[in-house]
Amino acid sequence: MTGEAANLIKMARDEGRNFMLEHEAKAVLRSYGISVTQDMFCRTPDEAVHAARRIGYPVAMKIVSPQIVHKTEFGGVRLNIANDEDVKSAFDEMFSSARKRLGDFDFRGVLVSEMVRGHEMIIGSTRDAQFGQMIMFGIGGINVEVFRDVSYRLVPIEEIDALEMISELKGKKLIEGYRGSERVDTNIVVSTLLAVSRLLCDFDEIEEMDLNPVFGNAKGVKVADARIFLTHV
Amino acid sequence: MKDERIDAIFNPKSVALIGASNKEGKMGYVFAKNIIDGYRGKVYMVNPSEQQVFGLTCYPNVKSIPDSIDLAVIVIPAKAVPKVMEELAEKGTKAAVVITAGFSEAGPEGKKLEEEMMVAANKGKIKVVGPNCFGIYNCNIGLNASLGVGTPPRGGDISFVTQSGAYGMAIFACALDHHMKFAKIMAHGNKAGIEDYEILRYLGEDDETKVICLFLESVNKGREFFEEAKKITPKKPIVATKTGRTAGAARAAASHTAALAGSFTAYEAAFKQSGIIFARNGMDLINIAKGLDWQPLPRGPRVGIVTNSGGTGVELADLCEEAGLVVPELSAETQEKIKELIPPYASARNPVDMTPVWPKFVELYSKIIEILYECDEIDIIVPIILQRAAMMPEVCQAVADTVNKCLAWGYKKPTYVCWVSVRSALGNMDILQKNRVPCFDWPERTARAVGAIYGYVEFLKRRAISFEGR
Repeated sequence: MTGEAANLIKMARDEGRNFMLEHEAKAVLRSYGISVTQDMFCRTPDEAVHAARRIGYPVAMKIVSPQIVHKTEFGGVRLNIANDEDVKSAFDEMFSSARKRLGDFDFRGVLVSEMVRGHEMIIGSTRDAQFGQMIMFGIGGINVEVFRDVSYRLVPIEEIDALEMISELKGKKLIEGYRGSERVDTNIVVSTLLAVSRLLCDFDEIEEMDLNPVFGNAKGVKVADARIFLTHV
Repeated sequence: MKDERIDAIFNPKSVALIGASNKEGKMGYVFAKNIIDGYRGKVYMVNPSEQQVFGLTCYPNVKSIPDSIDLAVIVIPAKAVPKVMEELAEKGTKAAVVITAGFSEAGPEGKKLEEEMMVAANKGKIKVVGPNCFGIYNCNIGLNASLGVGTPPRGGDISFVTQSGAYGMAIFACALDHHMKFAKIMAHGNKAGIEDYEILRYLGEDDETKVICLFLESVNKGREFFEEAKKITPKKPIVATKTGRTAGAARAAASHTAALAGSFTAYEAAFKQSGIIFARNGMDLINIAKGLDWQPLPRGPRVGIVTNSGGTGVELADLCEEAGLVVPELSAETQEKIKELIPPYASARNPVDMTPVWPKFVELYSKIIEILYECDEIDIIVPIILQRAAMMPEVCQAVADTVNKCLAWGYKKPTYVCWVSVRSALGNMDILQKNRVPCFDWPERTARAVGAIYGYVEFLKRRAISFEGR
């Protein structure tokens, strides 16, 4: 168990939240050695511009507020932002669009993130009344949404389970590379799944988790968005 | 260490039947008859309104039995059960099978009765099977404490635990029809006082049980069940079917045994991860168990098909491949050996199609099966015995003899027969199955069962678990 993850979970709890903000969730993942996109939390448009330059264009921007769990619904996600001007206007627009919906709200700032290329994957967790925490893996996008092509295991999983999870998916060829498409390094997928399993075992108070999308390519795997929900106390 | 109280269910030194009756058609009559028919331990009948039952003294109550009781079988009305359970607890009874229905499955009043019954049972540390169940068998000691008719044959090593009483017993009865032999049977109904993982652990440690079959509607304490299963599957196979896989069926399960059916996703994950073989239905469960019990485990996925009909052969080949098996073309060398036997217009490639040369069936089935045992390119042999061949007892006898001869020579290759024939030929199917050569009806069920059995082998192989000698 990492102390950092424990602290972050406690912080969310102390604020009376049963979900973690994206940058908190990503910090938890990072502390388990899970690779996440490079992000910078910014409170002002100027900070955001500074961050975007450091990360390198194009960037993604996402709103941060304890009142917003599903960011897209509030116009709180922008992708492929290419210059300083657009960073500033995106910052203002995301704020005012959420404001229009929520009135006075607890606006913390925005997260500026690197844009990653690769195959979309999804790693998640859910809890079953009889069997407890389960980990889920799927190839993202249409395969998850339409074909429900996902595979589950109870945690903890072992390497063999992670390999079986991948091999069970009908869409596995998409990440294993076909017709010259880039293949995802499955060793890294396996080690990511094992790390997520360790995290779930260490923190039984994780009710549900959604790492989606996770981008994979030949060089590695990066979690681009992360949601962690905690059990109600 | 075996759980003593669960052992008292299956190996009691004394059995008390609470609610024994002389009146034909009554539950207490059926159980009295079933118990005394085969069981050789001490039997005590209990019923205040009878003097004797089946020639045995009938005691007015539990207290007046002049001996300790290992197992109480209870068939009295639900309302009277908590009181009797208290008396049994005072007497130091080890286990009780409560057949009576009308407990938690019947609504809030029944639920209260079930709780009262369990308070009494727990006070006396009585292990309770049921309520609302079909009963138990230990076939190897002739104990039938169930609603099922007859005493099953001894010498079996499949054990079967079922949540559904009547369906479970129907599966059991059909399995007996197929000459399968069982060790222990338990229908545990509402599972008020016994957990799935406890039974699993008991059967896992039971030397008389080689194959464990489960018919599940729900699992209580899923984690413990999963952990227990993981320990058992490296040593012996567990085959399970789980009903209530869809939302609609799950509702039906909840009202049926008051069990909370979990989402199937979790069961599926738990089964795959612990190596439990998933059976799609009762028939699938029987077929897989039969294949596991009677034949060695296949070393690989390569199926050699021997048929007297090209059409069935091709259909079976398709289904085998779809089930994760392989139907390879035989080597030139092996084909040569086969070609010497079959007509020039027949095929030796695999499926080996001997064509309908029925006067030569006895010779061809025997010799081709033997060739497939001897060659290194096939792991599993599936003779299709179709119609005309199935109607010839001498063909069935020849196949059975050849398989058993080759197994006796030490070949670790299973043979499963794909049986396609009419009802009047069933007597010939008996010839095969009495000789422990499993027959599966039609290509679809055959491919399904063989695929599931090989799935278990793959599970063992991937985890580098040795199955030498099995």
